[in-house]
Amino acid sequence: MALPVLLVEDSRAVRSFVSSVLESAGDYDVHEVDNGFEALRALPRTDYVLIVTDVNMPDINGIELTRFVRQQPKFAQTPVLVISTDASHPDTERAMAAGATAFLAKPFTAEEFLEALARARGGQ
Amino acid sequence: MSEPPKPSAEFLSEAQEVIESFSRNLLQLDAQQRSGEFDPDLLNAAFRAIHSLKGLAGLFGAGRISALAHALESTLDSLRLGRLPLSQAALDVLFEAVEVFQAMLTVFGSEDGETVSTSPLLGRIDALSPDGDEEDGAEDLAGLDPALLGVLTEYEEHRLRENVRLGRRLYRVHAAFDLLAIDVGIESLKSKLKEFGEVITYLPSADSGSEDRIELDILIGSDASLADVAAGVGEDGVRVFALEGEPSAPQPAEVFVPAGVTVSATPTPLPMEDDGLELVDAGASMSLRSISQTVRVDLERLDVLMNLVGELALVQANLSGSLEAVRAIRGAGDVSRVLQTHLRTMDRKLSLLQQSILDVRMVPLGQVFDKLARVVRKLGREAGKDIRLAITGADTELDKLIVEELSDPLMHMIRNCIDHGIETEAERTSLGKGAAGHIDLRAFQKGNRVVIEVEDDGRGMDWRAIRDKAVLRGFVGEVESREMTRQEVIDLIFVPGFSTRDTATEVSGRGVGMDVVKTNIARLSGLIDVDTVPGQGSKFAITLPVTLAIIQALVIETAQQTFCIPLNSVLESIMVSDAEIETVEGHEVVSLRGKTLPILHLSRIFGLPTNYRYMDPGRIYVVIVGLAQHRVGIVVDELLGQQDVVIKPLGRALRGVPGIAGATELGGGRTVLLLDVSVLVEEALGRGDGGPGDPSSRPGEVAHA
Repeated sequence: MALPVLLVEDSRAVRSFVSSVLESAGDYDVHEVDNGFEALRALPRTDYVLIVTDVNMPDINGIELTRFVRQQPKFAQTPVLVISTDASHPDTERAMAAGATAFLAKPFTAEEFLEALARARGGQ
Repeated sequence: MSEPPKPSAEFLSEAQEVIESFSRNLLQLDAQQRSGEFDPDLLNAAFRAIHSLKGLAGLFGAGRISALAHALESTLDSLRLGRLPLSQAALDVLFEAVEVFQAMLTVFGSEDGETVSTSPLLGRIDALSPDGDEEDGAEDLAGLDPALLGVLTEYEEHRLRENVRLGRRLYRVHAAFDLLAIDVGIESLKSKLKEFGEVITYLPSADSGSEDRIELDILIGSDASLADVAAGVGEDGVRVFALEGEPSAPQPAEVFVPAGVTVSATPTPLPMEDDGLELVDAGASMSLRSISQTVRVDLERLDVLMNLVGELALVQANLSGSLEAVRAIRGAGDVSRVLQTHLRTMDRKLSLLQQSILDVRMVPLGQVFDKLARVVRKLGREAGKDIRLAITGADTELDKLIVEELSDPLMHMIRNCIDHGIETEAERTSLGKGAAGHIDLRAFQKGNRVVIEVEDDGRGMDWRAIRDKAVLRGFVGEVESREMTRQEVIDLIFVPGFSTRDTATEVSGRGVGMDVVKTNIARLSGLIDVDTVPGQGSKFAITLPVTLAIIQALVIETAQQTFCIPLNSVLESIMVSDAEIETVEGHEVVSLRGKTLPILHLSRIFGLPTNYRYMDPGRIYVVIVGLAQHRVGIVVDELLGQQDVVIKPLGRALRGVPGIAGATELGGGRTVLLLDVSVLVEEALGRGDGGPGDPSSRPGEVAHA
């Protein structure tokens, strides 16, 4: 059984990049959505093993989404990797405070993504 | 794994999309900034666009684009956080970035190592950045739950403060949604809330009661009272609370408590006759798959499809030929009838297929109009003129190729409007006109053609001045010039080499003249007309076919050669006898309903050998073609019929031949040339050789519509 991953990101190209990196790195089944509302819909239905979300999104931002994820008992321990502007931005700190496991600044390479993935999964 | 993905078409198309939406945001912001107040959502959207671009470019190894986006992102962050005022100077830099990004995308991935210099722009971006990292003012958000503040982005927190600073009240709107219908519910609630003020963010929380429901707290800033906001959204069963000093266990406002306190915004409950589970799942996965309903396709692939359809049409024509042969066989009547039915069905389906492929090629003119809007802003500022551009019909659709080719001629016309058409502010004021100049850019469909109008309210053109200049420069003789109509005189601005400062057609050495504009438009099988009133402005109207990929053509034969004439230029076919053809000053003309029109022999124009003058001097076919107000007859030996033809580009040998627009294939693998009617009409009207002495250019003698 492939491991389900939720990917929340509004850029189509970034989504397909992250999906291809994940899918070639392991037996992941990446579920892509492009906004927070779609993420809310997807979350109750699947026991995701990893959630990757952009921070800068309209309406529901990645920090709010992270907080929401942490409110769910079934996702209390699930790694959440947030994609942010840069490490020093207050938004990154807030995402971490809201319960994110690791962050990754845009732009990133495949290796950088995999390193962040390892940090997120190791932090379980 | 370590390699960055190839600079794929996916990157280029998404980057292009992002920059286009960024540009549209800027244009709206620019208009709003001038009128004093701008929508913060637009600025945030601009920030997010560049944020996306940065990520995107980084992924695809476009390091310089990513670096520029990074610098710009910081500036936009300062702008949206209010640390930097949104001035015209700041907008200048942002608009410049649009051009630089587009230039970078154009050369990105090209082999010639060409690069676009970004350092001047980076310098200007740097010069904009605010001196200190000025923090938000101390607007009191102390009453707010710190847990709430903690999940806002810095920008959202800034918007909360900004709303407080503007004296607005903050509200928390609580709603619950069925997961299945959340998008519909949110949209409807959002549009209601927007009438009251700014929607700042959405905070989701799980509904303790049900997995299939989500509770949302929406933060808004508004001038309206709690009662008004509550009444405005009331029907949805949504609760509104004032945010100031709100304790962690909020009390509903006393004003509004609908019967079913927190009800779903879903209009209809799910039918749950069975256990309902399957239905729920199907609905959910459907909406999750619908991230994107569009596919981007390379135009070349569509051309391949189009050619295939064209070839299928040939196969079909050949089948029809075979049907005739079957019909001739004794006793095959039943078979041939069945065949004929099938062939007719195939014919209809082929037309549908052709039409569907054409529809796919259509793009809105807005793509070009956005670019023009940036040019207007830039040139207006350079010229020190306040110019208001009004665009209508941006959603009018044309073939992608035509839209691309239109950009240069339209740009040139807009430039003329700004440089020469519209007066300086001082001049306008002294004339009693408004200080701001206006340019209207309009597009609309007219029959199977699209019309684009560019109209300014500037000084217009003085046709007498054009006439005098034309005489002075030897374009027309003095005597002839007096016989020319006003419209004919104005049309002289399209004659190669004719441009004068006085007539507002001078091009300031920056681009092409109106003659080149006309040539460009003619290449798209389009027409251009001009109307001008001195002191009031000029209006140019371009009429274009919706597509060039396929046209209906009249197939004719002359001098033992087959040609196609675009059917949309054919007005009628007439039959005359050689006695009706007169010669006036060395040019052949015929009379048609009281008007005289020149006639053309293709054999002479293309230098084709002919042994005879007319096949049957008593029955000479003349195809009347028209462009704008001009009418010309083309002598043909035979009319072979009408056909849809797919236009293919010409080989090198024929590319430069005037009068030939393209080639196409007819049944039996024959390649046939398509006539360029605009060139032929000009030829006949004597602009090329006959000169103004040609009878056809004299009013009264030639058929004018």
